[in-house]
Amino acid sequence: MSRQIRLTATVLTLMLLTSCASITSVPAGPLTLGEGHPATLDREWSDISTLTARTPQVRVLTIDGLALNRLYVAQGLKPGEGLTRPMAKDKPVPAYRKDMSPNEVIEFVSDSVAAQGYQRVETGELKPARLWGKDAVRIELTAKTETGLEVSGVAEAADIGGRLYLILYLAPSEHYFNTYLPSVEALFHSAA
Amino acid sequence: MTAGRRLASLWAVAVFASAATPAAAAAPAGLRPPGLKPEPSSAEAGMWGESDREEAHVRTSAELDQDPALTAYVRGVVCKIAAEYCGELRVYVLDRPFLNATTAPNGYVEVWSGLMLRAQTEDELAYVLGHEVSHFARNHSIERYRTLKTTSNVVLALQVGVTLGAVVAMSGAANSGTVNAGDTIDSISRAAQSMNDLIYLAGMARFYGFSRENETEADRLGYERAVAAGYSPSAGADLWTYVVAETNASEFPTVRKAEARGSVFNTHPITADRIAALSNLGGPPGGAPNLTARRSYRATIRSHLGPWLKDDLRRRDFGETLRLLDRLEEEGEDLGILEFYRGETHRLRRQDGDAAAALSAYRAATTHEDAPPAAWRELAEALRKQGDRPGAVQALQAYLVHAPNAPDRWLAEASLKSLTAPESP
Repeated sequence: MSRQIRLTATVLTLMLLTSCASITSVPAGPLTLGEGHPATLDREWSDISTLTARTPQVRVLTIDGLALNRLYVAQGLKPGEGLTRPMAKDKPVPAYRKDMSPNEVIEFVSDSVAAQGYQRVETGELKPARLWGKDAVRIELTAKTETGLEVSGVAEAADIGGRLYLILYLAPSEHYFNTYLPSVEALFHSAA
Repeated sequence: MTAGRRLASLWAVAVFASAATPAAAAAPAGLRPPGLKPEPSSAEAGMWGESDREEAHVRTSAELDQDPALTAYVRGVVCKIAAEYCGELRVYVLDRPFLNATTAPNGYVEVWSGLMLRAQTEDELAYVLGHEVSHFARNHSIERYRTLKTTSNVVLALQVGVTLGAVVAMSGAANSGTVNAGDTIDSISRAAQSMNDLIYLAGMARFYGFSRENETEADRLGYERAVAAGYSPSAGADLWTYVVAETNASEFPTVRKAEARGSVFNTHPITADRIAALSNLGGPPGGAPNLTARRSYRATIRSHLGPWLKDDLRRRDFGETLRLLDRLEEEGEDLGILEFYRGETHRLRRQDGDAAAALSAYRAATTHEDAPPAAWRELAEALRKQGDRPGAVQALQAYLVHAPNAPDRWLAEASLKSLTAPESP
């Protein structure tokens, strides 16, 4: 087993080293989402979208790596699309649907987090919010990793013209979530 | 999935859910003496070490059920059917929505919530646990472990080859400078993953081939243990008959063709064979239901019904969930919870007729005292979509009465305001 783990780790390291070219810097400053929806990042993030199985409209950003913080930015999901693409026909992922109620949007966000492999996903406080002048919902989440690490999350989501715009931030509750929460709040504020 | 978890999963699937074909019985291995410890230099010592690591992992797993009464109950069933090993078997209930259970050679027992949700009586649970304990008692793990080591090494070598090939391909794509290089890398990565999955599955299929005699023996010995402890002789055949029915109700052709979970590597009707073998031992399935046994078991798992059904819905195999709900409703108990989740299943499926079916189920749920408050909220939304504004208002008001401190109260109030505002011409 230990030999297998070492081999797997070696292969993963090789993959990471050779695929560094697909990790791009997203500098602090303006960020345009979807069809002309402006927002602003107050610090640099790394875009690791191409290392994930996300749908084309979704960008995945991180500062310290996926396990320590991740920011999903869905730039207008069409009906039938989810945060990630299904790996097989008999393993569907949660998908955005036309005419979802606000509670169904909340459920979509929660189920999408669970579909990333998180366990015990629970929604906490829900508040009204605004995204690009439209009514949105702010969702606070808690979850656990498979190994039991506590994770916190916050998201804002809005249906704009029949497409779902979503900004979702997830990080371990201890240290990491609060460390970068002000930057995420600044992003929300810039997109209000 | 980490390598360790992947191996653990392989092992888990290979144990109970393998749906082995009754075949020519292998020569029985010696019965394991209680308190057995492997020689440090033996093959089993390595397997124990892996089992210890998996057990340590499960102790901190987020999926570990936190209800000590439930764990104590399952442990009690284990001790009824295996009194001689009671002191060395450690039970962990995991909230995983699949029908499965395992027993590791070090005495670590996993029972998944998907099994507990699908068992209709303690007898059916005891049959499965009897099967697992029989693997443990007969030391079937040694043969499996040796097979697994050989097979997994071959599998790993192939997977490394495919992955390295993908790395080279991705590197080329990344350096090509094309606009779509990123998508190309992602595609190659996913293709490599698919190929690795195929190799992995082939490895599992190989593993299955070595364990089928053991599975058949465990079926028979598990049956004998359960019956000796006073459980119903038809429980095993009853449970497998249900598994076939649920699988046939799947949304997905690939699942329906597999006939039973865990049997994806077989091309013949293994579950039918298994039911036939168990029927020969204990009589045919489908006898008169033992309502006392069913109600007693339901009382044990009642507080878990809602969370387990919510987990089951995340599999998004709505046909299977609806079949499961049919089974759970047979006793006529817990209808508020069960009808609510029937409504949820139809709402999420969104096929023709599902909107009406969801509305009907939510309406039925709200006539029972155990309906969760969300049943009124979803009833309101279903009525609103039908254009029944007065009905939606009434249901939303009932929701706020049942859940005055709901975190989405502001959403319900906003919806009420919208529904009671004059309709624009």
